[in-house]
Amino acid sequence: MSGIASVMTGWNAGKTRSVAPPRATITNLPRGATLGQPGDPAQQRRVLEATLALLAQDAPLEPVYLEES
Amino acid sequence: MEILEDRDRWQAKFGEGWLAHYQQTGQTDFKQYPTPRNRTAPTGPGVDLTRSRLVFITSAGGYLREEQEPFDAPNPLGDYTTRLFPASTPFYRLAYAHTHYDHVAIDQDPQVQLPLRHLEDLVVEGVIGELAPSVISFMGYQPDVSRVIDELIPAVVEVVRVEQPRAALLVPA
Repeated sequence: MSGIASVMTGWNAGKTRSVAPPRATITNLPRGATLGQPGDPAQQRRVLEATLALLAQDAPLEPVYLEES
Repeated sequence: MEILEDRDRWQAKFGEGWLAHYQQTGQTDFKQYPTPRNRTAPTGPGVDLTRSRLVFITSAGGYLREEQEPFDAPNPLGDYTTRLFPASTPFYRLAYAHTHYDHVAIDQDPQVQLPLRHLEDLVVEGVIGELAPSVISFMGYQPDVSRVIDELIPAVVEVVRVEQPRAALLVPA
């Protein structure tokens, strides 16, 4: 999407890196719970906010690893 | 900039390997699947999110359960269509057609994949300027990358053209 800033978060480091996204965070969360564990809104917010924060930076960025599982 | 570098080479490997095997046997064999690879990431300036409209994009297969057709989740060749629904949609109106991830977590707490209420909170808190009216939803099992480029991406771009976000968040399932 040329012209707008984009960011993603993913649990699969290999697949995320393979497509060379402009901005990304990578976690150790399980497939199906990309933003955090169910019933843990604080974790979901941490992942979401850390991911959205990358939008302030010019792309491309190296993917940022988050210690979330 | 190309969405997929060396698309022709990828398409040839996909067609001669994974797709040919499926056409001959009716079975999918991901040992034959050529992983799409880019060497160069897109460039572009950052944005001040506090003053920006953000569009949320999800590949979790979400759709309006009483108003939209579910995605063709069991199709071994994938589904490349999109569904749009309001970012304000209450979760009870959503269902998820995607057979390639465990639905236990999303059924218990949809915000593990679709953080719609968190995003609304972030608008109230001033972290995000505003949300684009529509969520762009698709079902992320899409083995044919050429169809992603030719069918899915144009549909996404059209929503971006109409709703004019300055930023996008993708949460894959």
